[in-house]
Amino acid sequence: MSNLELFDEDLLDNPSARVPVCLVLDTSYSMSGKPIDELNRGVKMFMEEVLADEMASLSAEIAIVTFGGGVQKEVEFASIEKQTVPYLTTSGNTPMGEAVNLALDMLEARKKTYASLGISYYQPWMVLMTDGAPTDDISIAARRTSDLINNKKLTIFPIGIGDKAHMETLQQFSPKLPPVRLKGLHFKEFFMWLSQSITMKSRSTPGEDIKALPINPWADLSL
Amino acid sequence: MEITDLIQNYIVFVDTSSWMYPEGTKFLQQEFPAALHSHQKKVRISGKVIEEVNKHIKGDDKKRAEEAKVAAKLLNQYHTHKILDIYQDPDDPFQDQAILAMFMKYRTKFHLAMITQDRNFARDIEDLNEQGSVKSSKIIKVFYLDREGRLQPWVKGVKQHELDRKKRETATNPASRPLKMQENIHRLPLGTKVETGLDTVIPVSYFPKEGESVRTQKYGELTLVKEIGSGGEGSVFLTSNGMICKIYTQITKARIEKLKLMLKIPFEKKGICWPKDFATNSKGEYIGYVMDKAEGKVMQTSMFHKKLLQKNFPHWTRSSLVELAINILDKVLYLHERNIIIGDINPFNIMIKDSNDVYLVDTDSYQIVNYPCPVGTINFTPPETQGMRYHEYLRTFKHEYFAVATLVFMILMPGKTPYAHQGGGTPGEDIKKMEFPYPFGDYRGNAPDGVWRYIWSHFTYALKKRFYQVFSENNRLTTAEWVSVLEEYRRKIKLGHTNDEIWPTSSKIADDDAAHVTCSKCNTPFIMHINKKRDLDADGKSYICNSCLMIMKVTKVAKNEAAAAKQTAPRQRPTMRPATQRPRAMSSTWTPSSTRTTSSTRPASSTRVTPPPRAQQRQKQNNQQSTGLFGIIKKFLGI
Repeated sequence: MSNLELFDEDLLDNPSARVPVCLVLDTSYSMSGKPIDELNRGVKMFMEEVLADEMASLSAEIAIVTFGGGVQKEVEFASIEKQTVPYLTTSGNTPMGEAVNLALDMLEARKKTYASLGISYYQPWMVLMTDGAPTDDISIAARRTSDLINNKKLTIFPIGIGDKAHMETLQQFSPKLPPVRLKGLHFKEFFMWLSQSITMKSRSTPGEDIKALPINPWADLSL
Repeated sequence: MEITDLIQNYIVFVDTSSWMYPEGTKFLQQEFPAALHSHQKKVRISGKVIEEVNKHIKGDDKKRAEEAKVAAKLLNQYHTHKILDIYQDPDDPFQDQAILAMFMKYRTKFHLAMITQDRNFARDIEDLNEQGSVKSSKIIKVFYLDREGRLQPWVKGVKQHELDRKKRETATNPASRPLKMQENIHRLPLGTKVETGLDTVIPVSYFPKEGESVRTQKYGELTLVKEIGSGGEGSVFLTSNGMICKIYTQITKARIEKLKLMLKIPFEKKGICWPKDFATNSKGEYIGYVMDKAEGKVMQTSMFHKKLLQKNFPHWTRSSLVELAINILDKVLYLHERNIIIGDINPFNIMIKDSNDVYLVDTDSYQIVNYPCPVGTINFTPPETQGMRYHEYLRTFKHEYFAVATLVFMILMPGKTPYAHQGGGTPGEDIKKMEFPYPFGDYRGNAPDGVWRYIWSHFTYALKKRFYQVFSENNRLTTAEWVSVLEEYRRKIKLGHTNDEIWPTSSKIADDDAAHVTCSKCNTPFIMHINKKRDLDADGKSYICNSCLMIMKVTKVAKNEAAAAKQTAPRQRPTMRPATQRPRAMSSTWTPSSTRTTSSTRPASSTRVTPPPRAQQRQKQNNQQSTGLFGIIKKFLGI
């Protein structure tokens, strides 16, 4: 479960500033069936798109945490070349708070890794997706993300899936950007947008912070 | 003054500009050498003259190259006849300054004379006469060669015939006009205030697409053969005559006015993809412009990672990097001489075919008089303008020189930004703090680990000093000064005084200090500094090579990272995973001598990330950013 023996030479050789991106995905039982299939497809496409872009593949580093039954590190931070696409399955309840806390710990630890080796980085991005409501206490996690966001140390994209997604909960994690409900099961469109945004981020970057989440093909306009 | 008087009583210097002045050849070929010879005197030049002449011979400008060849021939003749002395201070690449310093030093002992066509340089030397602190009976004189090849005195930076003309003009026109600069370079006025109020969008009835055509005045009707890139501003097409056409998504008054201004500037420089003509649609409405085609690959994605550089330019050595930098700066200098500030210098706007064949693209964003460069990137923005909105202010040369230095640094340290350091943060924060991490003099620094330290250690003292001066002391060099520094560095590499490797595997160790040892981890022989060996021996410690040390460090860092973000309890995997996707455990071994181990100790599906097939198609010819589905989004995101 750890990569203690994994030597990632890119940490020494790759001069690009990194953008750590953590996907925090709901894999509770309610996601079974078509939703989890679409999510898997979206994640796969996302990782392939990032790898395909010459610049994003050198800048973006991806980690994936899932919450369904327990909390799982599905993909740990590494250069995208070395990663494998996870196959996500569903199970149990929705420990969202614990998942967000783990994701924040991972992001923090990754930043420490960058700093100790002299690698520049941009403040991390977190994508939080759920189709329901948390089954654990989210207050600490929500306070942590809010503080980071207010200090410009994190950008969060809170995404609701389907009618039962508890948007008020998502809102608690995100003092700046309002949560957006995904249009149907348009995960692919969302992840396409995300990889494009990362590509832009890794290129010309007039500003370091995200200003607004635009209306786009994956968001439900009826929100 | 008679030429005989001059050479008998003065120490005479001749500057590059006069050696290369076509109308001066007669004087320099006949009258002058004859006089020197008969009085057994010598003319003096600085070493920079030779460097500059050679540079022009190899340069892109054909006319200058011809002039330089004539000058080279002259200099060789002078040398053969022993009527030439060359002064070079090897530690000071700025020979202009060196000559000034020499004039300062000897002005109390000798009469000194300089022959130059360069107005500013002439003025600098003339000014020495007026520095009252030194009482001197000696004289400094400055001359130029006129169109008939006659020696004429400069008078406070003004030529004799200009004075004559001024007198005539004053006689005929009492409201005397100011003197016009008598130079070939068309210098724009520097901007004073951002042009505003021109953001109104001009309605356009139709924007042509791929397969359709545009009209130009100079090149007639052109078909848009193929779209080769697109971004937030518009799309770029290859046209039927081989030129490139950029078509905007939106036309504003400011856009048109700026282009009009740019098209008026006489501009001929290979490698700068300057607008050549407006493009209009069938109704004659402005929709974009045409320019020459850039060749090669985008700098950022072709050389800013070891594996990319080795793939794209396998024959390159460190000299190639230096040559590349010189070639790019040559173009930057051409712009700077015309008071054009690039603004958005960055490795996405530079295309490289080879180290001596480079192209600057996206020139329509350059700052022209009061039209700002509306874009930029954090890495190339100086500390004092970090966070300012690019379209709201006019950049200065001082801002630009920060970007120039950053570019030079990132070329010589392929891809590494100057301020990335241990304990650092985001690029913008690091720049604002100005903590340049590389050691210089007594300053130790906290440089990034690995190859970056080794590269730095092999830089010449002069190069380190200049980087330190810019990034630590905030004392920026001009583009011309950087060219001198780089030419000197290239010379040192050619002479074998410093390493020609792009990625040295260890810090610089002089032969006398080298101890040959074997790594206790991977059994590879390597060279260690003798003092370090002594220390290790004294402590009874074993020798470990740099690559093993790095592996140990990265492994330790990875261990700390894993420990800091532990997942509470691994859950049982459910059994919903289809048989075909059964997790495959991959073994992992750490082999210190290998450069790469691919492993994952965590069960993972067998789907390795592979790029989709269109990855290759995405390799854009221009640096235009891809729109894909979400091109517009960038505008909202402001990224």
